[in-house]
Amino acid sequence: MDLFRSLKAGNWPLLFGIVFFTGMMAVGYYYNLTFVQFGLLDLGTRVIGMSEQRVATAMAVLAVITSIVAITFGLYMMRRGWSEQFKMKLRLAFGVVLIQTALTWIAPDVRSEAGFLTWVVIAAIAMGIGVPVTFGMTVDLVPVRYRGHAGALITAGAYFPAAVLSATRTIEQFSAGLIWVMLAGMLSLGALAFADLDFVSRLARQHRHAEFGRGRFVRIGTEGKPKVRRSLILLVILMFGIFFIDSLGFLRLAETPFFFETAWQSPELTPRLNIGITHVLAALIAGVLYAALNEKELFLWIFGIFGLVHLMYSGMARNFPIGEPTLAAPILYSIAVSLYTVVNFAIWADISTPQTISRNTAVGVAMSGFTATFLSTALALQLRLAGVSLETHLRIVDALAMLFFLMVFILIFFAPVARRRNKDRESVKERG
Amino acid sequence: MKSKFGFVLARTAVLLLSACATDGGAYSGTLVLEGRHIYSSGDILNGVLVIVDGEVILEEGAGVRGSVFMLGGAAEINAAIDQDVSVVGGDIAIGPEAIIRGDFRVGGGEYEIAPGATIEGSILTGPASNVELDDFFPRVSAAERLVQLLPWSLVLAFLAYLAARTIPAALARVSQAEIEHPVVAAAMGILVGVVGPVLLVFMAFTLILIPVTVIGVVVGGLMVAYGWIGFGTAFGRFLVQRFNLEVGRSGSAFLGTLAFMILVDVLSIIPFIGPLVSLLAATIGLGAVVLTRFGLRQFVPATDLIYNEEYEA
Repeated sequence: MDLFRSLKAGNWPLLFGIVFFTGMMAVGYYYNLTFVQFGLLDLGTRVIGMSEQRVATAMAVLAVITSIVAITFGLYMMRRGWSEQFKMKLRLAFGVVLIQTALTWIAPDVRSEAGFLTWVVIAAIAMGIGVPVTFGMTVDLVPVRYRGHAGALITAGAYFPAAVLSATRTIEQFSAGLIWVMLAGMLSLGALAFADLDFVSRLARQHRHAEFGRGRFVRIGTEGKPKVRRSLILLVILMFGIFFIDSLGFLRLAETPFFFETAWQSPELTPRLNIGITHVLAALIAGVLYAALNEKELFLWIFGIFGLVHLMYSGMARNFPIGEPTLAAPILYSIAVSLYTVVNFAIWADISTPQTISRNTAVGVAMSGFTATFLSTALALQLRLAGVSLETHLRIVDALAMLFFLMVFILIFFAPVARRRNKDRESVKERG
Repeated sequence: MKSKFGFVLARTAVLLLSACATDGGAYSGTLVLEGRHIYSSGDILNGVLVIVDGEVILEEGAGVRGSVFMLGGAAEINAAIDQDVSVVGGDIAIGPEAIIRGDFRVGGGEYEIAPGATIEGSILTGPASNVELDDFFPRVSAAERLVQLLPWSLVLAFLAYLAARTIPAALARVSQAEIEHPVVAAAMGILVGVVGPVLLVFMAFTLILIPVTVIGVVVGGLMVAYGWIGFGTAFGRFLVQRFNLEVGRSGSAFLGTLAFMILVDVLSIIPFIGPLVSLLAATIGLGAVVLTRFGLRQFVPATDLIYNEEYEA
């Protein structure tokens, strides 16, 4: 399917679907990056007076509940057949955004730890339901060929404002800024979900077309069932490792003023603008390369850049005197993050069919969120309590990053050899 | 016939290359990264002097046939500098015997000018200093610049000739990736262009891997050159078809690359657009070389493969 040819032929609902999906996901991701990650920290520590450790524990609880709800609801959607019903997904998304809008509205007024935890639990349930519902719309709205590009627009649309506009991270500012966007989103979703619109019905049928329904990495097996190659599943599992390593390293860097105040939290606009522009460019590059490269090359690039960026940070921690800020590392870091974020937005739909999308996205996103937030936070806290220095911490992260890179390299190198050997065996059997 | 054509090309190139010989300094420069460097009377540095760190002392009677660009470290100047002295960081002391024939620009760092020092241009400090990357390079006129770039164009044209004779299929694949998939090639080129230098610099910091860094820089340069040649080959094909020229594949690659490089050189005179075109072409070329693995395979976007193999079948 060629987008421009389709538009020339008057298929405007197609463009609307892509714009609607990328807009919804970009706002949702921006909400997570800013309101949930930094707004909640500010609410817990500054407004309520909780310790950072207690807020971190609450965040871990949020990650666990989100993961459990996402997987449970994803499986439920698949069993009920909602996975293939675009209108149902729209209605569920409306419900999720309704709850999130209310939560955003009341967040600055929460004054007790009990209220904070209740807020976290409700938010986690809403987010858990939101994961299979919103990611599940990929098969309805974005053609297979353009999933990388859509992922790029979502990543760029979320990271740029998050990097450039978020110098001051107070819950009041986040709430005031986001509430109007949430309200607008809620009303639009309500109109699409409950009004009887022709073009929505047309969008609801799109997943039946070959260009939308079956993901790029899904093959039809000999029994006629859709299958995904085992090596790809292994690569996806290894990608969870990347989320874990990234978060483990970033958590410690975020606590090191030298690294953070000269980049993401710089009081000056220029470094943040540079990072924001890098995110946009890297996302666009990743979007193009996602569609162009095969899965092995793609994963090798992601893992390689991650290994390099973590080595760079530990090298800086060892060799550079404090007080000499450099933007090279945060910029390379932004490239690595944008690359894997684009892949994360596109790959779940590309290993799914309309029947399995809700389950696969729920498991994939929940696992990546779980490994990135819960496991890495717990380990980072343990390492800090054990008195592990920044240098040693980063060395552990480096070792893990290198190990994962090596594993991907071995997997890519040996998979064709194993395939060839299997083929040889089969041909010997046939001859015998 | 073909070997005669090659001989003629070689003779022409030698003549042109000798005609393009320039004074020392056009391709020279001095980079100081660390340590103490003292230049005494009679020591002449050709081209730009870039001080990243360390200490540089230019005594009376020494000279720099170009500009001085200072990023950090310390410098004491009592010598004659033919062009501008630009300071972004570090400490610089202009001694009483110093002669600066261009401007003295200070965008950052500390400076001191002794009474008696001669600065023929202006002293520009703060935002007015307008210290730019151009200060790295000796200022030359557009015509001089073209003459300087011509030898490179000829060298590349010869490499194109050799490549078209020895590895025609590989060259064709690189060329095809550049022309048919410029966006993907540009994306890959930017990625390699950003990550590659970081990796090389990082390896250089380990000291043990400095030789690997040097090899990496050479390979990177060859990859960019290969990319240029790919464009040149495609341009050659276009010229041959357009003007019905009777030259073989190798001759077409030679002519195309020479014409393409001259075109890029001419365009590079236009401010902003020129360098952007050169950079874009180099990036696309680099990306195409990586995507085709030096031309060893044909590049087809993965999503195109799916459509061709499954949906459209």
